[in-house]
Parts: sequence; structure tokens; C-alpha cells
Amino acid sequence: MIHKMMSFFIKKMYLINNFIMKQNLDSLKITLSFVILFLLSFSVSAQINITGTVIDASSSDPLPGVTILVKGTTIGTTTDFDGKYSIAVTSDATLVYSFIGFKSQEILVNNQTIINIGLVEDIEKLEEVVVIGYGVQKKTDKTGAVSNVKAAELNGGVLTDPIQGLQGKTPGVVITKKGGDPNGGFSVKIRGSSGLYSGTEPLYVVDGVPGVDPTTIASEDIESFNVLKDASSTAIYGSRGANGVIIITTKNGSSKNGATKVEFNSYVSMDNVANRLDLMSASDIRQYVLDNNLTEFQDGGASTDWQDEIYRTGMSQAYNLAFSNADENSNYRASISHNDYKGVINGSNKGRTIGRINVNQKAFDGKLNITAGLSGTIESNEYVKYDAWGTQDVLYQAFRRNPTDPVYDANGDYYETSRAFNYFNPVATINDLQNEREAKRFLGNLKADYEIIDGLIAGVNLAYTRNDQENFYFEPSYTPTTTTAGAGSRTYGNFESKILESTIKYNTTINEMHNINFVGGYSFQEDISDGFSAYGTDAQSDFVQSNNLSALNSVNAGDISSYKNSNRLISFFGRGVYNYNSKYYFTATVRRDGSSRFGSNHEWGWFPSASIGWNMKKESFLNDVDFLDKLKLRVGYGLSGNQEIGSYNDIETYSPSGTAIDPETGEQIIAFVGSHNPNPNLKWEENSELNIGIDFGFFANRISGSLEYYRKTTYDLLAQYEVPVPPNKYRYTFANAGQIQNNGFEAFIQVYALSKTNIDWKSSISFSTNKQEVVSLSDKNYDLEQLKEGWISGPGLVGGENWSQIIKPGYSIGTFYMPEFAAFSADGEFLFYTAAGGVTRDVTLAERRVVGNAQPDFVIGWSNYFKIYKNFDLNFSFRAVYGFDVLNVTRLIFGNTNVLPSQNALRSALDDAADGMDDNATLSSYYLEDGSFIRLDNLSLGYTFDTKKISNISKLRVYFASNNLLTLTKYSGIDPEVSYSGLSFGIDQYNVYPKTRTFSLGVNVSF
Amino acid sequence: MKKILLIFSTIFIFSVACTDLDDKLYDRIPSDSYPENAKQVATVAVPTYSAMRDFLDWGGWWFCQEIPSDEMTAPTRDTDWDDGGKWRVLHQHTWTNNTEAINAMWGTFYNGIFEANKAIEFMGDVSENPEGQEVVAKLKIMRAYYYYLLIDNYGDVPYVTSFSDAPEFPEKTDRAIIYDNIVADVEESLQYLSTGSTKTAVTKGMAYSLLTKLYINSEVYSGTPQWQKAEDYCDSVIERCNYSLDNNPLDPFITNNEGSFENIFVIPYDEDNYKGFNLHMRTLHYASNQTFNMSAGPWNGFAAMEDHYNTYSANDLRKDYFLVGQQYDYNGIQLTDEGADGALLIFNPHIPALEIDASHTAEEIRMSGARVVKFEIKLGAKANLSNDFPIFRYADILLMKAETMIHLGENGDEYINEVRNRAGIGNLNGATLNNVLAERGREMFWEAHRRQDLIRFGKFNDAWWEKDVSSSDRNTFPIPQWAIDANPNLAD
Repeated sequence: MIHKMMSFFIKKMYLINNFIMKQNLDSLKITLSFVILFLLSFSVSAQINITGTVIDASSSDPLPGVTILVKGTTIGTTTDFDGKYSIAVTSDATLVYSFIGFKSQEILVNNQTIINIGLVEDIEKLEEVVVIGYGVQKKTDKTGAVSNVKAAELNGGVLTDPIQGLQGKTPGVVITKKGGDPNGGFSVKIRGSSGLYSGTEPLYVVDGVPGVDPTTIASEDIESFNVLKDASSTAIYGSRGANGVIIITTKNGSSKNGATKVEFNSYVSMDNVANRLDLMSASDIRQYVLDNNLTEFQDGGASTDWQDEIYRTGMSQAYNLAFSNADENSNYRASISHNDYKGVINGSNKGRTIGRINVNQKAFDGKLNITAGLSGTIESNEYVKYDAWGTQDVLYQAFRRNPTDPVYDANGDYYETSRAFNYFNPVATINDLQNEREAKRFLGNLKADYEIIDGLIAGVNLAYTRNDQENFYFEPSYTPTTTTAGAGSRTYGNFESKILESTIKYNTTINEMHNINFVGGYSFQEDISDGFSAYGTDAQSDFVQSNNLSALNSVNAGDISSYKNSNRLISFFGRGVYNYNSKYYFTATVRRDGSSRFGSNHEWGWFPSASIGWNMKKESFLNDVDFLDKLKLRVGYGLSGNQEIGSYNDIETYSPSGTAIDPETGEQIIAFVGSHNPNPNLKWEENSELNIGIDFGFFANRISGSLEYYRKTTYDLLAQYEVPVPPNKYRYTFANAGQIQNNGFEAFIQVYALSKTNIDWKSSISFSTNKQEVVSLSDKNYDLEQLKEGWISGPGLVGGENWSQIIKPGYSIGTFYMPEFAAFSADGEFLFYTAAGGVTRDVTLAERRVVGNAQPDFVIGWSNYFKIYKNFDLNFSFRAVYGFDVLNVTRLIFGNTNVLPSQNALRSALDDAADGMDDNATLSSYYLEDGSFIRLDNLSLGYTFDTKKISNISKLRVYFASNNLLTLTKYSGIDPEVSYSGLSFGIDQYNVYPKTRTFSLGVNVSF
Repeated sequence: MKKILLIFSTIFIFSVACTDLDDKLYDRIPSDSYPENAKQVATVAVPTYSAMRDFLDWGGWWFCQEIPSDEMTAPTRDTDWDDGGKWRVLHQHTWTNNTEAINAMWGTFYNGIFEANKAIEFMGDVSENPEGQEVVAKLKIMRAYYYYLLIDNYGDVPYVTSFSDAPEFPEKTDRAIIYDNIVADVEESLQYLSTGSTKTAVTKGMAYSLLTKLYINSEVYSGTPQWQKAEDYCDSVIERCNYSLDNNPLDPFITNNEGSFENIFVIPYDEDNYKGFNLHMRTLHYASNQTFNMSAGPWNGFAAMEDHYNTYSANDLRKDYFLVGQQYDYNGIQLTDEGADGALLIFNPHIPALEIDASHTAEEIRMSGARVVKFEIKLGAKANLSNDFPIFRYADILLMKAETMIHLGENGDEYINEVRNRAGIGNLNGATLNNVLAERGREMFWEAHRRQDLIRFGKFNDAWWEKDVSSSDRNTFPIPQWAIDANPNLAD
């Protein structure tokens, strides 16, 4: 009998032993448990067998894999696939139920035999980790301004680029896109990042590889965005951190209880122009002709709505399929996505296919960890031109075209007539011209980390990126829009980046109080760009288009060209993080960066930072404040740099430039031209930033968030300065001299407003405001008083200089500096204020003054996530941008009746004329409008089916989503959202691709 | 485990070793490797020559040599060519230092000098390099040519011969001193020139011609005549170079005159690639484009002065320089003038006044004056011509030889008659200086020599047509106001 019992318990022991081995307890404990249980087997006390089911309290789904331990012992079990468990314990035992992401529960057994448990999600534990440069950090441990946005919180619906998912989610990160062109990109500005001639986009790091193009990642593959905003967090990226860093982490493999997980997502969507210009119709024109007795008007005889002719309903579709699996030693995830966007202007399309595989493999008892990722993107684009007011710009030509002109003439050809200078049929332009691109991107990276001894990890990271693109352009010989009888070109552009990084990390805890973490490393990156282009005119065949350039009869010297350039970045970096008992934190980082772009006197730069954190909640004086769960104060200061200053600006080089006649032989030779004055002092632009932040959490973290205040000075701004010739050889030198100041405040609050059985509501608000001032454009060596920006152009512009913005000390970038409109004179002419305080009709005598600003006063994002009746989910996000001005040049040109009747005008032109306006289009504050808007960026409603009964499907959700459902604004043009990048912005010059309202239907399935 | 450690540490050490940050250039040439070859060296000199491109138009030089002279005029035809009087003041010698053409000329010359100084400095030390020495020699001669034009037109001017050491506010140097310096420069540079006969760059022939001009005007520039030296350099051209008179007096001026034996140094205009020669647009009538099947419409204006037109005898082949009488289109149909109510388009050499106001008839306003087609206007010509414009020409050398011989008390008939015979007119016997001046007027008409000739012969201040006697101050132009504003050292 004892033998039987012994063998029974030995078998149980074996199972328990295996279980305990998996929990990584040490062998001493295992032996102990063996002994105890053996002894227990002789006890005569009551042994009860407890069974039960553990479920997720909010969804009532069974939870497999929940650990159930007898408290004080190592006896335990786990729940099975149905959440059921069975364990034998004494009646005085306490069972502890725990599962990652949920709050643990302890239940005294007493005399129960069936114990069913519902575990509640532990909100704090779920948001445990943020990704910082070269490592991860617990969210509670962070000392810099870092924002983390997970996949579930991103914007849904139709995203033409994955970064759109982050719009409005993070304070201080302003993501804008001018218009709705699927081929147009987003501009991202973090904390008013500013540069005059340098790049101002943040650094994108994808899975540890810096400098990757974020558009090559499918949104479904993104696990989270981590945004490093202040210098104390970005200093670890040295001379690339000044504009902020956005770290994108892609999803790793996970399994469905040991089985391969398959996910499929798809949507179809319909786009329509959200807002059209209110132009006159054919009957309005004819009425105008009658009313004003304009007998010379040539009526085209038709009734055409030209906006209708160039717009269409865009249909888009997307498909994404992902496979993944994981076990204790490895995981993988493979996915393939395809997106097709048809833009709302005819002829603008984008198609993108992305394939990605991430593999993670552990070896040597988990000491060696290898991650490999491969991704490839193929993109094809079709473009239409609309950015100016030339012969081929379809928006300008459609807006001005007389609605009495038909699209086709009696023979079925495109109807062309010459009512005005450069007046051409935009439908013909869209259909005749070929302007396409094919792009292929490849990213491969391999990371290996090896734990040499406990806590010391050495790692190597190798990455290779290659982006190739090919452009095809063709104008047929019969197009009336050019004077060259057709033209064609093919252009290739290739970019390659090789990165090698090696790091050493060390983690240790001393006396359980002192937590120390070091990272040290070296990074080497080399980028090479090269390209080729061939161009010719006088096309003798229209059939072959740009597929056969030898049909072009006229090719001159300079029409065939190619280029190649490279730059190199070498860095050494280190970071030390120390915290005392998770109460006092101290982080210091330093990076030494050298770049071939810098002049020989400044090849290397130091970028240090330090930050401290104080977890005030852990202090005794706050211990008893029950409603306060978290209160942490952070102060950080750092130096970061911007090395996007272009290559080869520090040296003088000679390049071919056109042709010349050799005076000796009288024959044509290639002329070589010198570039610019060399500047061995050329260096990066530098930011010094102080950031003060507070993280807080109230009421069991139902309300949590953070507040940040920053002061950022950017100095050594790169600009082009005019220098005296002689002694310099050329008129211009690139030098670092200016200074810009950005100060701002950010707030982020997240509220779990409702957590009931039937309705769950999480809401978050992000608020940011930034004040910018150009402190100086000059230094002791280089002098620049001001820069005139915001040049506008268009037919009939009267007046001297048509620039609208100024950049000069004391003002921010985007300050509108124009003549100020006073009133209309008795006969309808513009009157402007003069310096003396009077008014004048002559705009050249008017005083230019500050009349507005294109930078917003503040930006608010409000996102809401609802879970209703367990199966329904509802998300919607609003975004408000307030307090900025837009110069409505479209109204300046088209809002004037003097273009009538041969060219079209806005209906508001008739109203203005009725009010007495009778003057030529002149640049002044009369056309400056408030662009503040509130936009319902996306709204989605989804329903998740109950699939417990269907064996293979673990999740099935269908949804309906809408983007840009609603926009509230006083702005009278097509859309007030004009992007905030470059030296001048906030100008709507009939070059805004219409924003669209999108409706989509989609499905998410997991097998 | 040890193996892996070894691999890791190798990668570490390898990676740390790479710290080379020099710029790598692929598609452009670093400045210390430039120029790589002779063709690139040629481009170093190109900007020095291209300053001459503006001579006939915006650069103002041609206007300042011809309009103040007695051979042609730019009359104001009602409201056309009024332009605030900027043409009339040139004829009447009442210009100021704000007159446009005078202002432009100063900048044009100094642009050429600046480019020459920059290129000379760029060539650096050429003492070991004979090809470099030739390049520098040619640049110095071009620089001397621009200074010759400066002292000829403005008198005392700043003399700057360095690029990076140039003073910010240079002072004026005496005309005579500059004259001595540039003569020395050219003479010293002669030895480095190879023999070559291109017309578009400095050659021995061009250098000799420049020296001839410098020496023959020596009395004007320095106060001391140097006729013998002038004659010697004429001989250098005549005997040591291979120039000769073309058969027909119009040959050096045809559209494709690259092959002329007579032109020594030219500005190589081209209707598409080297624009700037638009004198035909200024002289032809609005309707004359039909005569030449031109795509552009001319601007009607400039004409030969009546007295000058009358100095050509009936059998002088050079009468073909002019367009007079009834005009025809290129199919032979008579042209009429719409603006004169359809009257026949007949050019009349008689010009009633410098300012032909509305009190005159439409024909007088629009059609008066003999128009100039000395430079061939081909059928289908564009707004800019492709004819090369001669700066130095062999006929000029022959006439200067005659002039210097007469100054030296010798007989120059042989040379002046060579030119006269080519023009189809008879010989002179015992030619005097007045004969030479008159022959120069007929032969060198429209080539921007007249002002210099009149000053040298002491006739520039005489009265003619609508011009009164002018003071000898007018022999040089005033320094432009804008130049004085930028550099106070230039004020008197």
C-alpha cells in the first residue's frame, strides 16, 4: 500500500518537479518540496481536492495558464485550456491565483471544494514597459519625456501612412499632412522642432535600426510607438536626436497555446472629397454676362463642373495576413500586407505591398538571444501635378476653367481654347501625361545578445537598408501644355545604408536597494545614395512613352546625368541608470558622434545629458494618501544635435554645369562650376533642453497622466550667408550662426471613466502648446538681418513684392508680415495702413506689419475607446488645432470678379463685388483667415462575434470606420490643415489636394 | 561559450577601429584636384571672355562709342526712344554720371577684370608649368584689354590686379600710370603665347593689335605720342601674322564669318547659345522683319547720320552697308507702313531732327535715316544674331599703319589705298590725316571705333548736326554715381 502511495506521489512529484523547473525555482526548493509532500502524505489531516474555473472578470472568458499556488509553499498547478484546474490541499491552505496582467487573488480554502475565480485586469502592470534608446525601461522608472502608444490605441480606419495612426495621441508631436494626396507624406514635428536649411523630421528607429523610412511598415505589424521628446532621452542618439526620436517596435511572434496563430485583416473603403470650392456654374457665368452686358463673351456652349470632372470617388482596399508562433525558446511572425489607394483626383493612385518576417531564437539556456528581421516593400505610385499654377497643374486649371467650356469638342477630342495665358484642359493633362514611380525597399537586420555572466550582456546589431526607386515621366508630342513637342524621362534613385552596432549592457541589484543599469556601445553607419536620369524632348513616338527613350529626337548635354554621394556616422555612447529602491532615480547618458558632414574643425561632438526622478509616492509623507497612486517628479537636461545639414557643404567642389564655348577652339565644352566657399567650421545644429515633468495617478490609476514643461534652445542654426567677394571666392557660405528658442507645455491625461460589466470607457486627452521665437540669425562672423518667405504667385498679382512672411529676431517662423488692410474706399479699392497711421491706396506705400501667425496656439487630441455589451467596441478621436492663420491665396486670385467672365471665380467674388469691392488682387491681411479647426479624425464601430463554439476561429470582428467625418472651422477654403514644415507654411495657394471623407468596412479574423 | 566570446570580442575590436570621417567624393571633383585637364583649364578662362558678351547691349560700351560720335544717331521718333532722354544726351554730349549706358559700362569692364584676377590667382604658381604660363599670360592680356577700355572711357580709375588681396575701397590711379602698367603687362606676356590663329581667344595677333591701339593713343592716355612703337606693332601684325583683307567689304560681317581672313579678335555671338547681338533690332523698321523673314519684330530707330551717309561715293561698295529707298519683303513685294497709314516704306537718309516730334509727318517720324545692314541679317534671323563681332580687324591695322606713317612724316598711301581699292574706290595721293580720319569713318563704321578716333584726331568736341561744341571734359565719361556711392574714394 505504501509502495503504491509512494509511487503515486512520486509520479505527482515528477509532474510538480517539471512544473517547478519551468518556473525557474532553484533545486534546493525542489528537494524541499519533495520532502514536505512526502511527509504530508503520511498526515492523517483532511486533504481536500479543490476544482474550479478561472475567468477574466470583465469578459467572462476562461483564462488558461493561470498559476495557482498554495501560499507559503511551492505546490501549485495551472489552469487548462478551458480555465479549469484541480488541486489537492489541506483545508487551512490559502490559494494564490496569479496571471500576468491581472491582479492576483488570495482565497482561503476553508471547506470549499469548488472555487471559481474571476481575475481583474491590473491596469498599471499592463503598461509596464517603454522602449528608450538602446534598451527598455519600466514605465514607472522613466526619467525623461517619453510617450508610449500601443497598437490598440492608434487611429483606425484608412491610414495612408502608418504614422497617421499616431496623430493626436501624443502631446508635443504635431503630425500634419497638407491635403489628402495618398502620395503625399506627413510632416512630423516634435516640440516645435525648427531648422532653417536643415531637416526637421524626427529620427525613426525601427526595431533598433535608426534611420528607417516609417512608410515601409504595415500598420498591422506595429506593436507600439515610443516617442522620445526631450533632450535627456534623445541625447543617447547624439547628433540625430535634436528633432526627437520615434521608436517603432514591430510585433513579435506569439502563439495561441502552442498552436500557430493566423490573423487576417481587410477593409474596403470609399473616399469622397470632403469640401469643394464654391465656384460659379455655367448658368452663373451666363447670368453675370447678361447682368453686366458683356457682349464680347465667347460662350463655350456647355455646362461643365470642372471640379466634378477631375474628382472621383476613390476606392481603397487593404489586406493583411500574419502567421506567428512562439514557444519558450523561439518565436516568429510573418506577415504580408497589400494596400491600394485611389486618390480622389483622377490619376492619383498608390499601391503598396509589404512582406515581413521577424524571428527570435534563444539558445544556450537562454543565454544567447538572436533576432532576425527581413522586410520588403514594393510601392507603385501615379501622380498628378497640382502644386503650382502652371500649364499642367490640374487644380489651378480646373478652378479657373470656364464652366461653359465642354470637356470634349464635337469630334471627341479634348476641347482646348485660349481664353487666357496658359489656359489648358486639365482632364486632357491628367489623361495625357504619364508620371509614375516604382519603389522597392528592403530592410534586413540581425541582432545577437549573449549573456556572458549574470547580468552582463554583449550584443551586436547589424542592419542593411536598400531603397530603390524608378520614375517614369512622359509628355506626348500633342500635349498643348509645353513648347517642346513632347518630352520623356526616366530617373533612378537608390539609397543604401549599412549599420553595425555593438553594445555591452550590465544590470545588477545591490542589497535589493540599489538598481544599476549600464549600457555602452559603438555604432557605425554608412549611407550611400546614387541615381541616374535621362531626359529628352521632341517625342517622335507617343506610343512607346518613356519605355523607349531613343524615340526622343532632342537630347542635349546635361540631359543625361547621374550622381553619387555618401556620408558616414561613427559614434560611441554610454548610459548609466541608477535607482535607489525605485524611489530616487538618476540617469546619465553621453554620446560622442562624428560625421563626415561636419567640417574638419568640428568632426566630433559630445552630447551629454542627465536626468533625475523622484518617486514621491514612495515617500512616507505620501504613503497614506490613498487616492494618490502615483506621483513622480522628473527633471532632465541634455544636449542633442541635428546632423541633417546635407553632405559636402563644408568643402569646395567642382561639378559640371551646362556648356560653354572654349575660347581657344571655339567649340562647345562642359562648363565646371565651383560650389560654395569651404567652411571647416561647419557643424551640427545643437539643442540644449531642460524638461520638467510630473507623472501622476489617482484613484487606483483610474486617472493617470503626465505634465511636461520644457525650454529648448536651438543654436548653431545652419543657413546660407552672403559674404563679400573678394576675399571670398563665391557669394555664399553655409555656416552655423542662428538661434531659435522653443518653450512649451504638454499635458496628457488618461481616464478609465467607466469600468462596468456592460460598458467600459477609456478616454485620453493630450494638450500641447509651444511658443517659438527666432532669437538671432547672425553671429559675429555672419550677418543676416531677415529672410523673406512665403512668396506667393499667381496671375494678376499687383504690387511690388509678393512675400508674406518674415523670419527675423523676435518673431517665430511663420509670422505673417504684410500690409494691413484698413477698409474699402468709396469706389471699392483696398486701403492699407501706412507707417504714419493713415491709409493709402498704393500698396507699395503701405507699412508691412505683423498681422498673424501660421503656428497654432495649442493642439488638443481627445481619444475615446468604448467597449459596450462585451461585443461592441467604439472608438473615436477628435483633434483640435487652435489659433493659427492661413493665407487664402485661392480666394485672393479666384475671389475677384476681374477674372470674369472668361475665367471662373468663386461665388464669394460676386458677394464681394456686390458689397462694393472693385480692385485688383493685392497681397494684404484681407486674405488672412483664422484656420482653427476641430476635426473628427476617426470614428469606428466594431462588433466581435462570439466564436467560442467555432473551433478554428478565435476572434472575428467586423467594423465600420470613418476618417475625417466632420470638420468644424471658419476657414473658407478647401481645408485649413496646411502642413507646418519648412520655412514658410500656412499658405493655401490652389495647391491643396482636397481632404477626403472616408468610409470603410473591415474585418479582423484570428484563427 | 568561449568561441562565442571570441567572436564577439573580435567584432568589437574590429568595429572600434573604424573612425575615418573624411568626405568621400564620387560625383564631384574636390577643389585640390581641379582642374584635371586642359579642357577644364579652358573653363577657368571662360568667365574672363564672357564679360564681353554684354558689350553691344546692356553693357553699354557700343552705345557709348557710337552715339556720341558723328557717324550715327539714335533719334527720338515721337514717343519711341525717348526713354527719358538717355539717348539724346549721348549725341549732344550732355550726359551725367547717372546716364544708363555710362553706368553699365563701368560694371561690365570691372566684371571682366575681376574674373581675370580670380582666374590668375586660381592658377597659382605657374613658374614650373609652361602651359599654365600661357594661360596666365592670356588672362593678363585680357585684363589689360579691359583696363585699356577703362582708361579710354573714364580716364583715372582704380587699378586692381589681385583677387583676394583687393582693397575694399580702392583709390583712383592716374591714367598714365595704368597705361604704362598695362603696356608692360602685354609686352611681357607676349613671349608665352603660342602661335595660334583662333579669333575667340587671345593670340599673338590680338596682342599686337592691342598694343597698336595702346601706342597709337599714347598721346591721349599719357600725353606723350608713341607713333613709332605703334607702327612697329602694325608691322608685327602685317608681317608676322597671316591676316589679309577679304575680297568683299561685307565679307568680315556675314553671319558665318568664322572663316574670315580679316577678323583678328571677335566676340563669338550665337543666336541661341551666346546671345547679345541685337543691334539689328534697334536699326530696322517695325515692318522690316518681312524683308528678312524674321520671327521677332524690330524696334525702329538707329540710323546713320545723313552727313556721314553722304561721305560714301556712288561707286563705294560699302554703300551696301545701308538700307535706303523702297523696302521689299523677301518675296520682292513692296512694303508699306501700317503706322503711317499704309504709306510705302521708303527709308530716306535725311533725318529732320534729333527729336522728331509730332509736328513732323509720319514718314519723317518713322522712316527717316539710312538703316544699317553692315552685319548680315540672314533670312529667318532671330532677335539675336549669330554674326561674330570684330574687336580687331586687319583693315583697321592697315589704316593705323598709314596714320602712324603720316605722323612720322612718311607716305602711307600704299596702306590706305589697299583698303580703298577693296572698297571699289580709287587711290589717294599724298593722303593726309584728314583723309585717314574720313576713310576710317567709312571703313570702320558701326564697329565702335569712332569716338576713340575723333578724340585722337582732336575732333570730338566739334559741333555737328544737333550737337554744339562741347568741352574737352567730355573726352572721358564721368565715374557712375552708383560706383561713387559704393566707394567714396572715387569721388573727385
